[in-house]
Amino acid sequence: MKTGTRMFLSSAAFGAAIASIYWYVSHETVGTMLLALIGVALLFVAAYIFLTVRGDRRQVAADAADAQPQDAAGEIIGPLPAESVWPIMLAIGVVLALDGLVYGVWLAVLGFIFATFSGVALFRESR
Amino acid sequence: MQFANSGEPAVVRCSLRSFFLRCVPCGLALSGCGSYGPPAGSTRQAQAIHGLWGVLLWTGIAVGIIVYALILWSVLRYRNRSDATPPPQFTGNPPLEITWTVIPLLIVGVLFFLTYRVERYVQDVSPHPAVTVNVTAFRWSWRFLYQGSGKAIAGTPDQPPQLVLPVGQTVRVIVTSQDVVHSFYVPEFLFKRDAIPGVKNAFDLDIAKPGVYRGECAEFCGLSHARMLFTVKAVPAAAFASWMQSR
Amino acid sequence: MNGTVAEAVRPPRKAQSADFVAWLVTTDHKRIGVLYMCTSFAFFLIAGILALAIRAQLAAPGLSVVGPHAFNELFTLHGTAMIFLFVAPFGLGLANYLVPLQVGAADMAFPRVNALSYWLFVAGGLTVFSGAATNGGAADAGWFAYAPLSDIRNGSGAGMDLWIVGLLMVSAASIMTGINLLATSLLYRAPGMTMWRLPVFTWEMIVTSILILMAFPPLATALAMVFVDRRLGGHFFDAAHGGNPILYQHLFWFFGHPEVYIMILPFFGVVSETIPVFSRKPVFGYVGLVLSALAIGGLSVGVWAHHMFATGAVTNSFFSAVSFLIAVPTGVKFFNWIGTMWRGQLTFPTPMLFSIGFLLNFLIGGITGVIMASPPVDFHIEDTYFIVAHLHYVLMGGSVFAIFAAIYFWFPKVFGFRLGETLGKWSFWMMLPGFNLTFFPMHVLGLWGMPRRVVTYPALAGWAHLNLLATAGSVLLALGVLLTVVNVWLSSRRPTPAGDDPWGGYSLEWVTTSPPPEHNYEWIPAIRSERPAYDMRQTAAKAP
Ligand code: HEM
Ligand SMILES: [Cu+2]
Ligand SMILES: [Cu+2]
Repeated sequence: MKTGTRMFLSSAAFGAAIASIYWYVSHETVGTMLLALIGVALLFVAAYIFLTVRGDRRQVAADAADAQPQDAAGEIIGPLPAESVWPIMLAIGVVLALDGLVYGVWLAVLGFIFATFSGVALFRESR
Repeated sequence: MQFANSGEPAVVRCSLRSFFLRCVPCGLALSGCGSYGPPAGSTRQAQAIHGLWGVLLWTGIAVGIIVYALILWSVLRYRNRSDATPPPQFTGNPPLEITWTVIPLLIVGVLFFLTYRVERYVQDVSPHPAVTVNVTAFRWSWRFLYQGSGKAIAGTPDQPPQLVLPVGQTVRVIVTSQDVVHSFYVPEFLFKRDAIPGVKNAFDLDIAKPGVYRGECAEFCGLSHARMLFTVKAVPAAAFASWMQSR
Repeated sequence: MNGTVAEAVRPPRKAQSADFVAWLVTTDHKRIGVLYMCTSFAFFLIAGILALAIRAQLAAPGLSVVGPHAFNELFTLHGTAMIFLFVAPFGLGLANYLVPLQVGAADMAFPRVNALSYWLFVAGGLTVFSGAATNGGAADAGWFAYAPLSDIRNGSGAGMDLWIVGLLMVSAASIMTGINLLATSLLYRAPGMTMWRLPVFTWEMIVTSILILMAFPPLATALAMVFVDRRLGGHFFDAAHGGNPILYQHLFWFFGHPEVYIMILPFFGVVSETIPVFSRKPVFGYVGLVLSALAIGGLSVGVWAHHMFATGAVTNSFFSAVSFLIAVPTGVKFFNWIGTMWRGQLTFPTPMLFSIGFLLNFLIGGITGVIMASPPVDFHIEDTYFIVAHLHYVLMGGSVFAIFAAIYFWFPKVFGFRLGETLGKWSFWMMLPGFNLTFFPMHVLGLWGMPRRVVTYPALAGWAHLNLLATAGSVLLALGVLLTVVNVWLSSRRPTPAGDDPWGGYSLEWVTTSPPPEHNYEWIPAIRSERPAYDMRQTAAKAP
């Protein structure tokens, strides 16, 4: 994943550069801050990729130009789909909670409870 | 090149510059000068903008024609006639690709340079304007206050106000808004400036031609946005002075 | 290599249990992709009907088909739905379907989060539209809802609040999908699928996803601040109490301009897949296409205030320069597509027709974009119908034509049968002139000074004619769209089996069956270039 890390590192550098240039020509704070934040966020992504893929056999196979399909044998490429009710439940909870901000606090509270419950269930299921 | 319909005077000084800035854009219009393009512009600033528009338009048309030609040529020339041999499987051509990166870069470089010059001119504000008008936008009309004279004009959606201004003098306009964002826009001046609550936005107009020009609010501002109109009446300086004295 | 016909027409596996519940609880990226695309297409049809109402009102000067308030609701919902609920989500839906297949993964990196994204997107869309049922009606402040017009103290009712919370849900959904797509395309690639062999579509989605991650947080911030102003007595954007309306515009357009690239890059990806296949050549300048996507993504975060040239509050020259620059990588892509067709053997089934339509229309939108990148010219053009023309040339003529190309191209892969070619071609030949008749005259109206978002206009010389022309064109355009809908219906009543690879495709998804099995691949070939399916055919042809 050298390509990926490098891509994000250079994007982060680009963010820093454009933030500096923008500050230099405009002395405008909001835009400069937003641009700088972009640089920082990209740096995080670069670091995350670098740390997760280090020494991962599957990643090595994916990046090998002459890899054979069986090189990743025994490793599943990506998760297998399974059914789950919790995503839609959590979404319903979030809708109720947010629409509740408009229609009335009772709905928001109901939605919040519903969302928390579904969220916890979703989280436990995915482990 | 035919300029018969361009509305330009018969004797056209055809320096390259005036050719691109004035004649060509007009030549485009099929039935008379400028009728499918923007107004020729009634302020000095507008005339500069109009010239820049001409350059951008014709550059755009030239690029458009070339690229359309390339697309249509590919489509017509390389449409499949027989399935016999597969086409050559080439994957690129770096020198060519560098060329078509660099040439557009040069084109936009020139366009930016021309833009920059015109923008400097249009945004320039004179230290000594002859007249200063404070324009306040509100939902859904305008209030014009002539600085230093107490003369004020306000309109309603049904009775759009008229802003009277002198020809041949520098007019400073300072726009603001008392509620939401509006925009002070006179198409004949090829210019608009947003009226923003809490902000005083200043710009200069040097009106070159007397006339009555339509003005409108260009930033969507709610229910009667479409009726937030006004007119600008540009009169000779002497007439303006006596108008200021009246009432 | 081709799947058997009998297999091809069999519907996706779990639908056999014919149960509706299976779709509600699915975490299969293919099903979620289909749901995403169908839902966003439904929003397209609704928003299209709203557009016809707008064109009816504007058919002649002085009409009152709808009143001014209804008109404001119409264009607000139209714009919101097209941008937030159709073009961008359709791209995400397509990516949901294709990216795991193209990189050779079994599913997205986080399948449950993926399902959550989809349901939040649906909920957000419905919430936005539910505003129409409130007393004050739906949101009516335009798709960018400038503060302080969108403040409650300036009129709008609960519809506006629902618009805000609805878009917050859509933002959350987009961010999660962005993360998911990034993780999938970076970390779940099959052996040998190096980054520089990813299909161009996947590359464009990588850049799109990065842009989503940068653009949506500022939007969510701006929306939340408007909500605080409206409901909790805040004064962020209220100048009378020290607030700053310009701040909203900065936050919004810091989202808004990257968003336009979120709405076009996926479709640059689509035509980068279709044009090579129908030219029977590899894509020309693969590296150039990838680098130009990255360049566009980078530059697109530095142009936001070209939407604010007339505010007098920004450094116009900076934004002008970067906006001019962004035309260069866009131009590179154009030349690469032409280079792909050059000396090829072009065939013109419906997806190729729509791809060429994309090229023809998008070029005009790109050129008007460069013209508007010049602030002095933009002083005249901004907020007139010229903008309406520009944005429709890039979005409708560009993105939507590419969406139709994508529908015709991948439909056989997704459902196992083809869409009819005759109706498809009719659809294209109605949409192309219909689109241009509708939107070309708007350039002229804008140059004459017709402002956008007006419920009616004076009968100045020529205005009535051009507006009528636009309305007539919109009817033709709508009929063209309708033909494709009819085509889907008729084709599914008498399905013509497509086989695994009806077009002679290049990327990995054409290797598996149509529709693909639940885990996508029974086996994966050795990947040696960015055209694994092509390589496989070549090897098979050489073998005795
Ligand atoms: C060559 C590249 C492009 C350039 C230089 C460009 C430039 C611009 C500029 C300067 C504006 C602001 C005009 C104004 O409000 O005064 C604008 C508006 C807009 N552009 Fe582009 N553009 C380009 C490509 C695109 C693409 C690819 C899309 C979307 C697919 C797009 C969608 C829009 C939209 C939706 C607006 C209107 C926003 C609104 O006011 O509602 N543009 N463009
Ligand atoms: Cu207004
Ligand atoms: Cu933009």
